[in-house]
Amino acid sequence: MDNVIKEDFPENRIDHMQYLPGMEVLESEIQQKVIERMEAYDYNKYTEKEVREALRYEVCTPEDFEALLSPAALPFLEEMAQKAQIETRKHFGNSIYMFTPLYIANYCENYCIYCGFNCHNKIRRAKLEEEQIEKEMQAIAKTGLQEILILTGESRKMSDVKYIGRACEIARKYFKVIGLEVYPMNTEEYAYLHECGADYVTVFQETYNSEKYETLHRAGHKRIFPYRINSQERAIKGGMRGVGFAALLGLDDFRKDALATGYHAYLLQRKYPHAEIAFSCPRLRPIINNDKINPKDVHEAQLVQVISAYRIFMPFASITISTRECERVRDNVIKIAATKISAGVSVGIGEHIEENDNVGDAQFEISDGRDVKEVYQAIQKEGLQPVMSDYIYV
Amino acid sequence: MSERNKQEDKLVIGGHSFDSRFILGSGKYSLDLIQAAVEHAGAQIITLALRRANQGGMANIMDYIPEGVTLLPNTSGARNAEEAVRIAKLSREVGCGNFVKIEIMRDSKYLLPDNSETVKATEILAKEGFVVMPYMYPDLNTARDLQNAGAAAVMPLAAPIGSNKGLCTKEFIQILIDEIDLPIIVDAGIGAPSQACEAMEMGAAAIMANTAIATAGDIVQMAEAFKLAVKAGRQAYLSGLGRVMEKGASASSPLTGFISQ
Amino acid sequence: MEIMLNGEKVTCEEGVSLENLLLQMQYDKRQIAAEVNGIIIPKEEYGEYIMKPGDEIEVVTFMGGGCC
Repeated sequence: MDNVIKEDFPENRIDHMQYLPGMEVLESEIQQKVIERMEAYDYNKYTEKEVREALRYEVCTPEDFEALLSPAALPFLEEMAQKAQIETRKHFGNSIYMFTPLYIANYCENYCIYCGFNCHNKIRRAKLEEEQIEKEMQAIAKTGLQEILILTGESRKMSDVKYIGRACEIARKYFKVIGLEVYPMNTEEYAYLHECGADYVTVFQETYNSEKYETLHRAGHKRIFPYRINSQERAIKGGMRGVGFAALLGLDDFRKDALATGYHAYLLQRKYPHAEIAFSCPRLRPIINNDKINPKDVHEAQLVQVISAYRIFMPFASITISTRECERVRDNVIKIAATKISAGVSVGIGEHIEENDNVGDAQFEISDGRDVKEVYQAIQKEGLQPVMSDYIYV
Repeated sequence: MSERNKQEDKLVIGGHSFDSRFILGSGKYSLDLIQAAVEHAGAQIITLALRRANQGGMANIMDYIPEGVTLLPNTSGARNAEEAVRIAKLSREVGCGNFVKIEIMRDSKYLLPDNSETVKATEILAKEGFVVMPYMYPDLNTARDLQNAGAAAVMPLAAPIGSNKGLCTKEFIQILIDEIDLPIIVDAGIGAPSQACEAMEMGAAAIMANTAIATAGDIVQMAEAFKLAVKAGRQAYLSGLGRVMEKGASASSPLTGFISQ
Repeated sequence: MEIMLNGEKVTCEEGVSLENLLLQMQYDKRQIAAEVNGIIIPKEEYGEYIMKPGDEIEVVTFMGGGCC
């Protein structure tokens, strides 16, 4: 490689803790509380005793949540899953919500070294025109889905707020529930998108360890750690009904990141009791055939541990299981704790309709390529009830 | 549950800390029993009401309250926020600190507190520097409003005042304990030490009682019985007495059998 | 001249201060609060307040009270 990326040298990177011009500064104590708790979290101090206690109580405190995420809880995985299942059924009955993501653009201004969309990757970039968005949405709506998640790469230039707003307005014609997974923005921009029809905003923090974050997100507005961590609060202030949280498990110490994710959501819910809370649980899969077992790898057991702990800690939260996971894992996790599952997923740009030649490459590889009908039947096979939406616009 | 196992177990209200978690009411019994009752109850906070003063140097309750006990004047008699604010300000002017227990009743039959007027009064008095302890019907939304309005504690009722019926509102008080970051002090309706103990086991920060003691055969003995019950309940809570899960048994088919490495 | 004290008509001398009036009525200043015409008078100002005809005074103190 002869083209040198200047941000690969630490001295060329901007300060990741300083807001950039135009970024709304939110006075909030949540960030500090989350980081302090995460830094103080010593998961090796927990023993069987604390884990048993955490499983015994009906109300799960942040301290209990810490015990459930600790290595000491791994031998209790079956008990955790059982308890998580009871909590899930208590709050959601047998419902499993279905949705699909729609990537409308993959232009990105960020340089995040692990991401397929990053601005230095030579991939096919594309941005759907309004008519194409409409056609894609029509094709998706035909499958029976009523909830859509609109995604873009993080480029304010190529996918400005107006453009995303237009996509929301089109989506309103075909869907009952509209979520967004786009770049973080200011409160008034969230308010605008809410007016255009969006009700849910998800922002993945990736990792809550700001030092690690700095090394992975080397350029672009995503590099600004505090602006990202306060996104959910701005979205709620902007009038969104709900917000989603996630750490990309395995990027850094997954136990600390899972703790921070859960506690972040917990504090936000306490501050804004009306906000609906959602978790996603993406992970970097450990490299198979590696003889040395890394204790920080997120194998399936650890993934189930985290998902079950999220459920027990926040029994009312929506939990989405990603298409990065395979059919076997997804069909089992909906029995335990997940309440939302995507189907008919395409993570490229413009792939829902065949005659489209404006296509862009995908962000990651999916492991579960089943269409809506197949996932619908799989949910029913587990004795659960697929739900397209139970939402009334008011 | 180390969050339930704090080394320094103090009741902190508006920056003031107390060892005792039993708040004694001073109504309905004779002045000469007050000192013994306070002492046997181990109470560090006692509630009082404000009334027109008689002329002529009559006996005053303040002469009977042991020194060092924090006075918590209530606003009984107030029917709305404005009246409660007036009573609170007069109480502070007597010169015994800035604590106030807001009681606003528009209903003379059941004496149930008016939650919305209570929120208004809390906001005004907190801004004026009072340590505000509002008596309320245990409603989560109201409790959050009170917290946002600057309350130093929240005092939900267990049952109608003076009824001695115990924890009729148990489930709702538990929700306040779980959700509100302020001391939850169970007030009104606690009729027996066992009920006080149960509320403390649930995680209540303190208990307030009056009628149960004032109407007992032996007021002083009953005051002590309450002290012991509150202490026992607190200790049980700190020791990790939990509520039992409704469903403890394991399902026959394991949920985690699918996992592969 | 006549004033109202806790809802009752009371006769007092012209020019008497609130401080002296309360003293004559045998109130213990340490245990009371006083309002004149709806306005709280701080204790340290009792001496400065000179009674006027028709003043309505409320003098209050604590009594036993709990949850009712």
